[in-house]
Amino acid sequence: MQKEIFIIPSVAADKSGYEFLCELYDDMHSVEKMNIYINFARCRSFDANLSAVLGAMFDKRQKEGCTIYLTPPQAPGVRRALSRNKFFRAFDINTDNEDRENYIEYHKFGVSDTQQFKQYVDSELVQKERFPACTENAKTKIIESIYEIFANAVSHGGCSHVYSCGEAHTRKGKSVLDMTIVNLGLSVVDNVNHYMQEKNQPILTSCGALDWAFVEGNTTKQITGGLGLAILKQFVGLNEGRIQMISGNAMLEIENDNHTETQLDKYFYGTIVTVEFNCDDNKTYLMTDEIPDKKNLF
Amino acid sequence: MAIIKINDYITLNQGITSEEGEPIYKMIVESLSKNEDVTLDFENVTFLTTAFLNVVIGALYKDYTSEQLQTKLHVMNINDETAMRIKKVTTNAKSFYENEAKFNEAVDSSIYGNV
Repeated sequence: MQKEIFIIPSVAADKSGYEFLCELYDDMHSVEKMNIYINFARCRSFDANLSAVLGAMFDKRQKEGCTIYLTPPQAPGVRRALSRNKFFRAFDINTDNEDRENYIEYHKFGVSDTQQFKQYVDSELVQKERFPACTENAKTKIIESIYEIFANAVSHGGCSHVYSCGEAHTRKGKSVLDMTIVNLGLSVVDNVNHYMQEKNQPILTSCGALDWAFVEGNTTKQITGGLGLAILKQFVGLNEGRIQMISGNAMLEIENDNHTETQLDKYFYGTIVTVEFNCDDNKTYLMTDEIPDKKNLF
Repeated sequence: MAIIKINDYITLNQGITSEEGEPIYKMIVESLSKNEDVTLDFENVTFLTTAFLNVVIGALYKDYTSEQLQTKLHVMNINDETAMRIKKVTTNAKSFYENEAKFNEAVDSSIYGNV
């Protein structure tokens, strides 16, 4: 028994792209323990960072007993994008155009693979001399932000793995780094609204739930928290970057002080966070007047 | 006096997940429960996330007051970034546990009435 699913001609990190990926998830879950053929033949354009979403979905179905086969794309652009971040290699497709410095390898991490994640960041970002081309100060803040996203994903999702990849490129003349981290745990929407129910608070809209998660001090955990995403938002604002979060049937995009909320027609069973960091950043982020008295921290 | 060298319990000089922070939290609690002073030594530590610090330090505010921690908990070899993050975490933790206590009081009062 087998099922074949075609990837649509263009999959971008936007409403229709995410809705397609949600549909793909549903399609793949409509069969049990089958061979699933994912056919890229019709695909002409695929946003490389979305390979972390594909990887998460394929991996889940494989763990559930399906076998996934990928039919390589014919379009050179798609083939290049998914080869250079080693996504195809992760699914046993040999390619010959890998190892470009501007791609951050697709990788899967267990929620306890903290050391492996640190080594990944070190080899994929810190050790790449030409990449990203930004000041040491901005680079440090970017790496700290990536750690905050990872820490948030492994502690909130109720998931077993997180999936990551990235790409450095230019947008509107700016040198930028896109990082995507995906988990297929409980969505932020469900998480926040379970918490609201527990606290006898009004249920939030799906987009409202994502917004809530970025407010400093807001946490659904039993212990203190709620700082990671707020710090990320604050830094990305100063860095003039962008954040995109997809979870449940909501998409939230944050750029400067603008929060754009988009309701999706499909449901994503997990959370995707993509951050576009601006690498052309000369700011000094540590203001000496903000340094607290080290004898009075508690 | 117990001295906990943070770098002995993390890898690559960075503490990023709450899981990494749990053993340190347990050691601090063990010492505080014996009324010992505790010094957290941050030598060679390059970066700690708020998720890590929430478990190591923030969670202490569930059972200890700010005054108790100010007297019993000390830091050494700490860089400016880590000090700023700890301050953020402790400020947030105080407010979180204060609100939790108020919420629990309100729930008790709505169930059992004002006694």
